[in-house]
Amino acid sequence: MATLKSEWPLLVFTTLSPLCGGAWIVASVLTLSNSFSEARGLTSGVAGLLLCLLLFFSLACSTLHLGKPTKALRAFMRLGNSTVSNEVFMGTLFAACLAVYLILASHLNESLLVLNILLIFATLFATLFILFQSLAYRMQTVPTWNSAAFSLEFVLIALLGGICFEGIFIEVAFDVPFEVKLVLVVVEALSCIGMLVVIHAQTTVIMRAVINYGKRRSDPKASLTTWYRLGTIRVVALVSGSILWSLGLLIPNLNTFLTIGGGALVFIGIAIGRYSFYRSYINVGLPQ
Amino acid sequence: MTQYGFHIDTSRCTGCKTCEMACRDAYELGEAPSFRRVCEASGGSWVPAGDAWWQNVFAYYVSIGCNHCDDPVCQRICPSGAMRKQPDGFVILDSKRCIGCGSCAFACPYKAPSFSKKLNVMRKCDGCRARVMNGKEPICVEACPMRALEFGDIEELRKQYGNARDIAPLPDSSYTQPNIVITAHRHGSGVEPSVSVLSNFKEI
Amino acid sequence: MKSSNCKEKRYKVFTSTRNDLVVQPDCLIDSEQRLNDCTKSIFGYCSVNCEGRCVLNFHVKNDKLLWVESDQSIKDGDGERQIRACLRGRSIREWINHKDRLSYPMRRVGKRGEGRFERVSWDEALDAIAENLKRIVDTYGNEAVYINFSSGVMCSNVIGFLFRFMSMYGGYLDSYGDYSHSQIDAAIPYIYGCRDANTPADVENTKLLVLFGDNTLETKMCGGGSSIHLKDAIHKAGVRTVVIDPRYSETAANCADQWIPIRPGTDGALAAALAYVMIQENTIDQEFLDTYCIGFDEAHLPPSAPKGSSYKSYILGDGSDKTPKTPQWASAITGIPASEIIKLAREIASSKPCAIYQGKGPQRQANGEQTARAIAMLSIITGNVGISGGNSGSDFETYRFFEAEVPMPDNPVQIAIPVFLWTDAIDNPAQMNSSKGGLRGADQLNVGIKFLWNYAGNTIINQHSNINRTHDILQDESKCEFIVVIDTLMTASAKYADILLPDLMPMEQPTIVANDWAGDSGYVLMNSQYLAIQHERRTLYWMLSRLSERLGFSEEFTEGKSEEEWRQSIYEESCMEDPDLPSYEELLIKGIYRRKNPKGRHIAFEEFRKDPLGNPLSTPSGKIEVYSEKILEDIKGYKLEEGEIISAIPVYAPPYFEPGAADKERFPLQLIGFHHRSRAHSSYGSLDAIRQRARHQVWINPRDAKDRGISDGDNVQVSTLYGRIQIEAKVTVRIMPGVIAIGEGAWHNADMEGDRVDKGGCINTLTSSHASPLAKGNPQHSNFAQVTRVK
Repeated sequence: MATLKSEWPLLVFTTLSPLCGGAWIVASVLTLSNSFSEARGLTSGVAGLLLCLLLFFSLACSTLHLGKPTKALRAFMRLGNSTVSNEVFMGTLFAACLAVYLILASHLNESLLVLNILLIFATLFATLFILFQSLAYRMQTVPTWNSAAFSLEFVLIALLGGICFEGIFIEVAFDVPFEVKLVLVVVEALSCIGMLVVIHAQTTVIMRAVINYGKRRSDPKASLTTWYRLGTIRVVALVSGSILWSLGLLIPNLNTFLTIGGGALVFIGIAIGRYSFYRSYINVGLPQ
Repeated sequence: MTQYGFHIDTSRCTGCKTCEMACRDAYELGEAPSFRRVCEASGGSWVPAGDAWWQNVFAYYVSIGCNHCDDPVCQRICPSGAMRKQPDGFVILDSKRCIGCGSCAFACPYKAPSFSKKLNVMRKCDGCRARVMNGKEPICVEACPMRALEFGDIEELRKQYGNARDIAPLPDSSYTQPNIVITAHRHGSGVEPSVSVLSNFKEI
Repeated sequence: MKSSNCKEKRYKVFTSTRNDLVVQPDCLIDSEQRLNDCTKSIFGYCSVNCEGRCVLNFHVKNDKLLWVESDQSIKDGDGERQIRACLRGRSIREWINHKDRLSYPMRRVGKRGEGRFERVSWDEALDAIAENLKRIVDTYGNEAVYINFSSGVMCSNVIGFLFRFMSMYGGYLDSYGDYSHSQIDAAIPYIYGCRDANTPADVENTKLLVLFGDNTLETKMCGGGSSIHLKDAIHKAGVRTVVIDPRYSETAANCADQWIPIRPGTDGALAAALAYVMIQENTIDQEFLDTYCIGFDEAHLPPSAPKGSSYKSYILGDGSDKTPKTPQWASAITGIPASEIIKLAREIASSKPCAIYQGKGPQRQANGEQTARAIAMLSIITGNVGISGGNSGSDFETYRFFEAEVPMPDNPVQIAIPVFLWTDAIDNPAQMNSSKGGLRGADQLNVGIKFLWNYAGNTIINQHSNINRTHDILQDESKCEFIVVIDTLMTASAKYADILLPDLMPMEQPTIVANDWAGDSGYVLMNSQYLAIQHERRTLYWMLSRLSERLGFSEEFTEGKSEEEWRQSIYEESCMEDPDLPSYEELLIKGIYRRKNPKGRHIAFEEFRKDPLGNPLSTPSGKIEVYSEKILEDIKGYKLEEGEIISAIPVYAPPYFEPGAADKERFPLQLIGFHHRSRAHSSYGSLDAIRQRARHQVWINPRDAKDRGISDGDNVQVSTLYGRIQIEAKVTVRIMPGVIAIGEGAWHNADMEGDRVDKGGCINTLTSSHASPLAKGNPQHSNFAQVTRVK
């Protein structure tokens, strides 16, 4: 089944793109709510550019798992055809909006209204993108994927990853009031707890699928073992990363690298989750 | 228009794979995966009794390709619109449109679409549509040495052989509404996989 | 079909109706073009030795073979079946265009068996053959020239030319028997005077079908052959079927209402116990036995027979061994619960008629001759011989009506060896006498085989037992001095050639083929157009014609005729015998001539059953000989080795093994071969498409696999006293615990200078070359082996 070799583009894509979407939503909420004086710096300038580059990178990666990467936009043209085409459509619009916003933000400093409208649209597309992405793998015939637990994972990746991502920017380059940081940490902690609940739910789903459909595979037990093993690493990475990140963000005198390292651990945890997602594929019929 | 379908007589199939190989030859599949596969299902166990053995072993085969389902999950998932059920009932993959994302392969529980490394798009059984339009049978049906495969108007086939379309190791037919009729082997149970297991993983 | 009225449909259609849809990319041609737009269809056939001969239509465009279709000459139905090719025939394109197809004459440059050759011209190759043949005949005499057993091309007009050629050049060491059914062929005639059985279609008239080791549905897969006729008969009449086999074969899976797994080589014990129950319960057909048989009981023994030597005495324990053949006795030997044996005996006895058949598996054992007769006894004691719905107990018969042969003068050399002992005839000619060597026509060989012809066969290495031994014998160039191999591919055998010549496939030359095992539906096939000849490939006849020129009997050999002219004269010769055959021209056009058995089906010994005195059997007594005086007569002077059993009555004779071969410590598992769907013997064995999808595996029971830490799909090593192979494991409940099975015919592939581990997985790396005692046949299912996981 899904091996790291054949599925890495999707792994990168489904790790980075919801993370970018989430980060963008967080940044845009902070910007629109004027939570601190330089808040717009999160969506424009270097921070915005980095986010934009990361998003484009992840979108580019997603095409690499295609047989014909250059024809990827054919999927863009088919809005309404399937959740995947909707996802591609929204992802493309999100990226385009983001890019236009960045360009405008660096050239039209005075026209705040135009910028904010664009910002809102980009955020809307980002939200829809995450929504459709979370539904893209809901195939009735794949019981290991066809579960709310796996859809919620995308939303939580967006929240958890997005906040961590923005938190790192804040820690590195911005002077942000403690209350804002506290809000971020609380939301992060809640998402982290949510993620743990989701992982637990996912494990139940996988176990049930292995019991019901595992006999159609040659190695039913092996897939469960892999799931448990990866799951353990995943939980450890997520929890420890979140704690380190929170400490780094909240306690002023600690090393900046604590936040970055914590964030990195969270990203790793997310990526492992994606990998075990693909590894856990079992369908209701003949094994792939 | 006629909805075509296959009658798969598992009481006649010997698992010889002629259907698969005839198709491979006619469509020049080369290194690509087959459009039709033959699954071996087996079960039972052995209990020693002194120097002798008691057993309740059984085995049978199911030849399966694309079933041109009424509710083709491949079409539902296809992002490029390449996979479409046609008015004549065949689910056709338009390789000019296909971008080779593999979603259909993930979704199809019959393993019908597969990725062609040579062409970089998906490929799938088209029910020998061109042959059928010319009044011929699909290659696999025409090839079967045991006459275990039959092709025709699914309504006619159901009238003749009944409505059964569930047999292990196939998925429950409610997922995609396949256009097949199964004549069960005497050991062929429903789709419950606890009794019999797919036993030729490497061959399908 | 053009209609866009698709809105009513349940499904969504995204674009307008497109029947012209491009389904497959241009480079592969869509199904419309690929399947219907061929410029030419060439009639041909697959004619390897699987006991079927199948129609193939080659669709060709500009000399390029596009795809292969099977029989379309009639509509398929219950009355007449299309002669549909199996997976192998359907894949023949890969063979014809194989990347390793031999294209030029070659001469060996390395050691024998290394497979290193250099390309030479036809003149060089033929000169070398002519020189060596002349030298060897001049030095050693014609007795030193042998034509090896082969069956890769089963056409009536091809290999015959080799025998004609050698007969005209002073003769060759003759041979008898084959690798398929030597033991049963030798054994059954002692009972009935000849080997005969009913045809599959007659099964529909029976109440109970009992198959001993018969796997018709996999060994004879032709869609117009035995398998379909047997299946149709069972299906039509809903015949209850019992299959006795160590392996849950395809026939068992498909047809058996009951499968009785049995330890290999012990069918004779089961038969004896079944007879015991029937005798004890007095359900035997005493009247039939009294009227038609001799030797069943003491009252009907021939005068020469000692007291207590009847079959009944043997069964009841009144014979010399003093062992009653009770179900309990047989249970320990066969692995079948005693109650099952009793149940089966009662079922056989109460089913009138009951059809008992055996396949060729039980007899392909050391002492397999005894097993073949022992099984047939069940038909005899139940009186099922010579009736519809019954059988003689032998293997399924077929209807044949067409015989054609290349005309040939008598072979001046009147000595014949059994085909299985050709390596002994090379290695140790002095030992080749009538007792040990089964030699006919002389007391002893004066000279070993020095010149070996091998046409379209893989018996030099692959299909002959104990490959490592054969290799060692052939490496010694002082023994067999010259080997000529003519083939289409670099087979395991071809590697041992001194001169290797590139042959044409039957569809590339004028050929003619008759049906083999085809139930009661016979046919003749003939091609009129041929696939394009490529490179320097030539027909056998072309090669032999040029050789006869060099050796000075070209006119006599060729009679000035071409291949085509020969085929016509051979066919017209047959027409003289059988005026109902269509004319040559007519057959050329039609390609196929069918003829059903005019009697509907064949019932073996039907006339004898109706009138035993008027139509006696060709046994010495004219009756069914349960006790055979002839067998004792024939083996006078034989020195039997320990374990070898030849008996006047069909006793249970367990297989014997060479010292060390059955050491249970080292080799705890019984190993049998079987005919796997992926190959017809070794033919088609090198086709990737088949190898990937009909995998070459050793079947092993989950219990045995667990003990050895083996999982399904693991790579394992199988070893016997004779060699080691590497193969994929199929862990399956479909094989009896304690037994493993490997499909025969996989191509040997080992580093013979190194570890000799056969990575091709050929079972003959593991088998013994010790011939069976009576027939001198191949005991390739009598083996003990060990399996280990390869890390």
